[in-house]
Amino acid sequence: MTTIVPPRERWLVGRILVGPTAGITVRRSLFFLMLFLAVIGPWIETIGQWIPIPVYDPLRPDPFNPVSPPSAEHWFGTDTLGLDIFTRVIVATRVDFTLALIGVTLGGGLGCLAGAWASYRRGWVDVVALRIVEVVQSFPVLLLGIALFAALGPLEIFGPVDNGMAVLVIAISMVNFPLYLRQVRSVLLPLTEAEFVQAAKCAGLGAWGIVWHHFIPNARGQILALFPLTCAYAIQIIAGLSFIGLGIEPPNPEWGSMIKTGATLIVQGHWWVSVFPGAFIVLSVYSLTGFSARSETLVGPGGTSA
Amino acid sequence: MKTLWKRTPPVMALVLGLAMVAVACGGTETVTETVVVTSIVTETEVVTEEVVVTSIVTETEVVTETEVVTEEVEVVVTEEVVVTETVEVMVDDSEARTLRIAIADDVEQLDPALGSAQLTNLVLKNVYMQPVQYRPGPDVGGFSYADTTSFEGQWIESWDFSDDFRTITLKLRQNLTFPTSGNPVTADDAIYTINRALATGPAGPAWVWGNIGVTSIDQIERVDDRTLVVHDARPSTIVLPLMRDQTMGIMDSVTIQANSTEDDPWGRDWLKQNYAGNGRYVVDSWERGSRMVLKRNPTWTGFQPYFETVELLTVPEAANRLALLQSGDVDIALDLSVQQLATAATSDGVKVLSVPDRNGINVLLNNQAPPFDNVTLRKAMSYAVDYNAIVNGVLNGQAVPSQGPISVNSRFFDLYNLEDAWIYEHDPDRARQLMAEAGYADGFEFEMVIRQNVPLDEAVATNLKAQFADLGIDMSIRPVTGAEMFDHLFGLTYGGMAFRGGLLDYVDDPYYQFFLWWDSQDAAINWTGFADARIDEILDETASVVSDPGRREPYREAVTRLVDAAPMLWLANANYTLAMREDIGGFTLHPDGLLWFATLNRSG
Repeated sequence: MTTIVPPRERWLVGRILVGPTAGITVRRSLFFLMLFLAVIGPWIETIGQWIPIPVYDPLRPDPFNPVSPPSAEHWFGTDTLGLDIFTRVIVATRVDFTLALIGVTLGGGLGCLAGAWASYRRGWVDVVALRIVEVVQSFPVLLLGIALFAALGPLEIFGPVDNGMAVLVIAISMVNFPLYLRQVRSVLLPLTEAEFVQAAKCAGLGAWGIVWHHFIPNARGQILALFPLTCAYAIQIIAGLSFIGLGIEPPNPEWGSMIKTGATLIVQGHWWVSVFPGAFIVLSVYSLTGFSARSETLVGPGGTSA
Repeated sequence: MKTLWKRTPPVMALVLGLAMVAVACGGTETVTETVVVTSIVTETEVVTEEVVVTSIVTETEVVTETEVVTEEVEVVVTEEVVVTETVEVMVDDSEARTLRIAIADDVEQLDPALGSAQLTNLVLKNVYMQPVQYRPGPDVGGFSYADTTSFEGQWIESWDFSDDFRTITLKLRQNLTFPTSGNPVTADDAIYTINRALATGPAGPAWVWGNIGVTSIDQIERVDDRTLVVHDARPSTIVLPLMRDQTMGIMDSVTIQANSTEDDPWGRDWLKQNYAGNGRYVVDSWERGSRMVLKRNPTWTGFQPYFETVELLTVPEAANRLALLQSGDVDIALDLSVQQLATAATSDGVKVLSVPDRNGINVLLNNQAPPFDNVTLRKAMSYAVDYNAIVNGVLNGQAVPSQGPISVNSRFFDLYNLEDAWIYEHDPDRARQLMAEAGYADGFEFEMVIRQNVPLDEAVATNLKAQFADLGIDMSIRPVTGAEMFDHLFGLTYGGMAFRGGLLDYVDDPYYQFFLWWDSQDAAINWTGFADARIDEILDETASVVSDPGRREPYREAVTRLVDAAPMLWLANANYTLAMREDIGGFTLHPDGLLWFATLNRSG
């Protein structure tokens, strides 16, 4: 049994990430820089002992040095609690990237399966799936997040996992589920009557086997193009919810809550508290969207290789 | 005629300039300006000499108001009368007599029996008239403290206690009226007000009257139109201090009854939105969510407040309140953060008043649940706190370290010599030792509940988390809404600690503090769940003692026991801080911390 995947599409993810390209070198470098920061984040203090960069404990405030401007001791300055912003934006990289990745993978994965299943089964399954999508999408993202935090926040049902982080992941999953479902369904709907599907049916392959082995691989290009875009979107959602005080437990570093800390200080001229975490959000979103463009270049319409 | 048309542009320019002066300068200009305007309208040659006009406008930088002026010019060309009207505003000093205050939230409602938020209480105190108020004390460098031992009558003119303090004779002030209705203030209004308080309790004025000893309207005897006698009152030192409470304002019984219904016999719904009082200021208008305007009470015949109008402008963002203060658009900005106060202090034309106060910056420990049901561990936490970092770092030096339940800035702290009752200082080694004794040598985990989006809460919690981490204690922080916080405090459902900055006992008296917090049976806000039988005994024994020599030793014992049991972390006594324009004077700090408009003036 073979799938309808041309040989050139092997190593597609690898080609998107590191393959030769003319257009996205800068974005790609930025992405790997972010990835590097996300990896080293928790050990930043140890690294600071080896190389001469001024890093501090991201959770230890210096109450005698609040809102100090960027300097040799504090490259990005300090916030209202005297926490070092340079250290905290680096440590926050892992938090934001990890939550975005988990949330999108979870919601996107389920969305892909549901989309493929709906397009294969059609009929009432399709109708129900679409209605669920419409209901979820009818809520503005922030409102959905607030409602989830109000409903799940006080329950403490996630055991050792941080409650706020768990709800954030659920919120991102719920936002992404319909996006992937719609995308995958729209791509796969025309394939329902395709010959290879009929052949697979005749060969005795079950419904889930057909969906898994024949349907989803055909939407791989669209999924890969959508994935970095939705990760970028997820980072913005996390930052947005944290900005209004939902999500990461203080004083753990997170870009959105860091921007909030400095939002009211900008008019007093203390720009650095918000600008640096804001810049990291912009750069991470910018770097991620590059891969989406790259995927679209590599994968043509309909899931075939260009 | 043709010449006149040619001269029209200069005339317009002049009128534009003058109108801008009128708008920008407000009421601060003098009559001499009027003379200039009149001559300009009739003699256009005067146009070019008004250099002063430009300079004044530049200084004030009121950009938005310039647009309004442009519209006025078009009117003036066709109708000169408008110019005259504009000038008439200039001779009025109403602008100087207007006090503008930027506030964080809207006032909740206008029923004194329901007020709860500090801002609402502040307004109720100023727009309703209480039986008594504190007299201002002497000036102590640009401000004064209220003299908490001296009272002046408001709606009562005099009061007389019987020898056993169980009967109080109240004489009502004569010739008072309610300004909005014109109804006279009578003994019937007083009885209605007390009856309404008791009927709408148990909180608010019912609680206050209850602590005075009045639980039934039958205890109030109406002797004549001006005289009431309170029977079976509870002798205590706080009878008069309670009578100054903002919930005790007298109400216009005729108006309220006219607006009451069968379902709402005490007019509670009506009074939430409407006003029936006669404070030093009266509510003139109220645009929910944006502005409340108060006017000086025209019927009050005593000392007249300087400001004729007080405008309360709702500005939710603290940064915007600060910006309005810096630009001079408001005279006072309430509720600024520590950093914003520091910025305000360095701004031109702005001063920050920082007055030693009894404001408690305390952390509540849940005494009824592990791990802080262990007294040794509670004491360990008291030694673990770096008080200096909180006082001089987080609070930027606008505070002093606390030394127990009675504030170091309370007059009773010195009177009872409570300094030696305090035993804690930052001593991590002692904290570790006590933790080991308590069975927590390897550290432990707990949660602190704080209010969402309150910078002070986050700052204190973050600092304590780092300090406790040095001892191997893992403290997590959970921000909750204000309503959730109250649920946790009253239900004692918070895990380990809860932070409530800005706790202020409205009455500076140890009896008030103890029955409010530490009476294990009846405490109104027993937010720690602490109970001590000996302290209950002391409270019972001293409740009716009305002289301080008789209370000194019992309260020294109670305070010592309380400090030793460490039911909460007393971190600091924060200053009362107020950012205002430099020309605002006459500030008097009352024990309740509620800004009293009547003594404020523009003295600069």
